[in-house]
Amino acid sequence: MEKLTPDALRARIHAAIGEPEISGRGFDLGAAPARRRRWRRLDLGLGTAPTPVRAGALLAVVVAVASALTVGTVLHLRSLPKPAGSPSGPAGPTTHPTASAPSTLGAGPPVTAADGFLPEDVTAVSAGQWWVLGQDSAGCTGANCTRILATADGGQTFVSIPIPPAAVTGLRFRDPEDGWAYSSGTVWATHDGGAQWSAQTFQGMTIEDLETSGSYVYAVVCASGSAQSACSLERSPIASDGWQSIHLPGDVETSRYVPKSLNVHGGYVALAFRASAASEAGNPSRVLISSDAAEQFSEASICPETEGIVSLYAVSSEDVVATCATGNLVGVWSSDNGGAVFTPVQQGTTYQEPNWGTIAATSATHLALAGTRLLISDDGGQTFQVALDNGDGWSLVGFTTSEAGFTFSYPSGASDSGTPNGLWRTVDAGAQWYQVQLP
Amino acid sequence: MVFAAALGGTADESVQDAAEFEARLQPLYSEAIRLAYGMLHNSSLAEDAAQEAALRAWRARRNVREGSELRPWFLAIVANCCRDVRRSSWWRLGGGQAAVELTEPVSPDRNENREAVYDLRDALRRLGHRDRLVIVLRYYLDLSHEDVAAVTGQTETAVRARASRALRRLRLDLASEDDA
Repeated sequence: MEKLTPDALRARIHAAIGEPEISGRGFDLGAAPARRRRWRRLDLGLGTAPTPVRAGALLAVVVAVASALTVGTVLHLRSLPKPAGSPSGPAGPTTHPTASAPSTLGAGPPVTAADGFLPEDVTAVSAGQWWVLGQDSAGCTGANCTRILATADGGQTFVSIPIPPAAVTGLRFRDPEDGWAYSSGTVWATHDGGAQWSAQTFQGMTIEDLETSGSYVYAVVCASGSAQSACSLERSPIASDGWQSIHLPGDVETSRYVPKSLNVHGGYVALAFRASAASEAGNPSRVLISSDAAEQFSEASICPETEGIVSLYAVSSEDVVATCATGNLVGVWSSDNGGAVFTPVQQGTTYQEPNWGTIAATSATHLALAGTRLLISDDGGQTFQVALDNGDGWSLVGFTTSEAGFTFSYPSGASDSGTPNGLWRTVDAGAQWYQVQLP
Repeated sequence: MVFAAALGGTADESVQDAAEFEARLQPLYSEAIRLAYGMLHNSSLAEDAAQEAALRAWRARRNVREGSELRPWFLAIVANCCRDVRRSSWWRLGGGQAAVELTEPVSPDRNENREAVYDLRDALRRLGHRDRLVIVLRYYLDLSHEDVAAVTGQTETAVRARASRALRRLRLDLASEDDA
């Protein structure tokens, strides 16, 4: 046991707790009692934001309830490329529901082809502090095109920070100091807010996904250029760049499974793999879950009668939601025991998103589904409302808090290119979205 | 008058009463938010808890005995609000120990051992309400043992004993207990 002086002890406790981000608004005895959780969020940097897209008054009420929950402060976005199709065929039909989605919902400014900076990834450590990785669209080549923009005021202003000396495709920050950028076979780490980057190379391997939570950063690495994915999980303490391979149970490391999702939540780690061919015998999905920072894994059963898992999102170590490909469409599965048992959500209203639709959530009941449209549910996925329907596709949806989240838009005619053209943000759990104005 | 009535007040509870009460509470508010943040590790929840505590304090203002200090009384209400937050269903959706990611990231100094910082934060989260309250009051808000006792309604001896036990659970130890 460590023996500390009183001052050292106080310093240690202060460092561990940190300081609150206070809205600056004092208390108000005249505020409506109870459930007045909205006002704190009023100054998150929305001052000059464009007119948001409204998802409807009903949803706003729902969001007010959902906002009582605060979820991951480290943004959980899938960083895997948006699939152009699936083993079962091309992206599904785009028949839109009519019963649950009045035509006025989802109306918004058209997504236009972007000039200048094209966002590729976003990572956040709080509602106000986040980083956007992207490329300048013209007048540059290779790594010269890469830029990392940082904001500490909710997107009102951005500054460019130094970038790793190579093109990178993904970015995560654990806190304002510790972050990782990665490309095909290299993870670049910074421990000074991006001033300096150091490389860790995984020879002959591809970094498929990287996430950070708790005391660690995790990376899914797979053998390059092989149908046999031979994937492993690498883990490093956040500050020491001491990467170690974590043995994965079962035959995931050697079978024809490709990683679909790495999701971390404190010490909770969920790894989702999907059979690389539709004809693969056995379970089309493999989900490995750990509650002790990947020390031990168990295997979860999910959507065995489908074409396999598409995305997985842990709201907590108990509440986990996932999408699975069911023919050309996507279905929602959920678990309230950390993924030990997943059950399909019985759809009250068909939402019919294509089989590459990805999911995120702010609670067990409040879900966001990104596909050809961005849909929001307040009943655990039984019904969805259209939140955004003005592009040709939406992907990489995720939430930083119970209210702040991001998604990427894809331009019309380019939905399969894997290159988004816009970063959209919500600060009310999806009721309204606005396009982030990037310099 | 309007909001006094809305809060359950009577007609003779004037706006001036509320204004005076707000004026007394205002200097304590930032400390209340820090206490709530130390307990909940989330700014939004902390502000909500402090706001709720302010309303509860307003409703219960007649319980403050003449001449007694408002500060420990109000901080005790804040602590109770934090406990209610942690008991509520939407907190549990975050999942007890799984409430990890309800919390906001710390910003450790570059020279600090970040793993140690995160580990201590996790350990603080695992403490029970009373243990955590004593640690937060004593070592985060830097209150004296006497003041901690006033907030928690315990004796100073009990506070010292609880703090010592809680520190052991955090795998920390004080070089001296005479640090007040």
